[in-house]
Amino acid sequence: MTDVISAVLLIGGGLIGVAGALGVVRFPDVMSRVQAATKPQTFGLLLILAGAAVRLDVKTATGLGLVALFQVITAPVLAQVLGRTAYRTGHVVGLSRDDLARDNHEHSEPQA
Amino acid sequence: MTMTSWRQVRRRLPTVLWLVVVWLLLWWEWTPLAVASGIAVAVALVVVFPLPDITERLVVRPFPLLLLSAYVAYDVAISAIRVGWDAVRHGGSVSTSIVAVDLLSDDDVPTAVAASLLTLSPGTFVVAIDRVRGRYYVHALGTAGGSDVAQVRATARRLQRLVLRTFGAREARATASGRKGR
Repeated sequence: MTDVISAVLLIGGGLIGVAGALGVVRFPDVMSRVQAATKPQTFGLLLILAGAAVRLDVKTATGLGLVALFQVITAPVLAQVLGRTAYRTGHVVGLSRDDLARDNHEHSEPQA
Repeated sequence: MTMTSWRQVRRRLPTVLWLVVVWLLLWWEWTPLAVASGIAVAVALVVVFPLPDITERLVVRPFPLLLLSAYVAYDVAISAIRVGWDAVRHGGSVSTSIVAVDLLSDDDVPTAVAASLLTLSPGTFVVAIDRVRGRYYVHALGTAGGSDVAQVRATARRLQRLVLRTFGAREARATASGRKGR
């Protein structure tokens, strides 16, 4: 039974990791690529860790739990910093809507 | 020991405890030596790299915390698959946008927690927080039409409500349930 669970989790995690990697290659701009690089990878890693933890003793599984925790805490920070830097330096392609630019534009209009 | 420094010690105590727990989990032994060395390392870390104080009182409610964790886990799973699918199906032609979402709280902690959780979930991350105008600016993948934008806002709002129910002060929770947002 644990074999099946662990196989499903490991393969599922691997597939999601591949999809994320594909996104890094195919998405149009830095911000979207950051999304693909950080988020599906995090979920894929969590699945793989869970899949491995099922088969391991408590001690090692706890270590994997810490890996998962710190991944979850740090991944958003990376995404945020990279994404914001990309936006501020103008590495943006084809946004279909940009409320931030719109609001900043309104803000900079002279108040007549 | 003066009053202020005692208060400082007490404020750092949870951090020290947490560091000791991590240390013990990593060593996986509960000997006096492991505990003593853990405390030494934790205290040294807190003294050498002091974090800024959180001025508000931090509350954590256990039951809403469970709800929040479940919702985040579900959201992360669903949207990881969605972003993966976008990568395979649309690739370079995926549509992205930056959507303004109303902040439901003025407090530091709920604002920061909700921003990180939004960023954790695949397909969305917070580009900027404008506290003067009370908005998050969220970059979202796969937002072709108005209904997708509405969905991003709905998710952000639900997440903020859950965060406020978990960490928010009482008044903030009241405004969150009263204010509709956009």
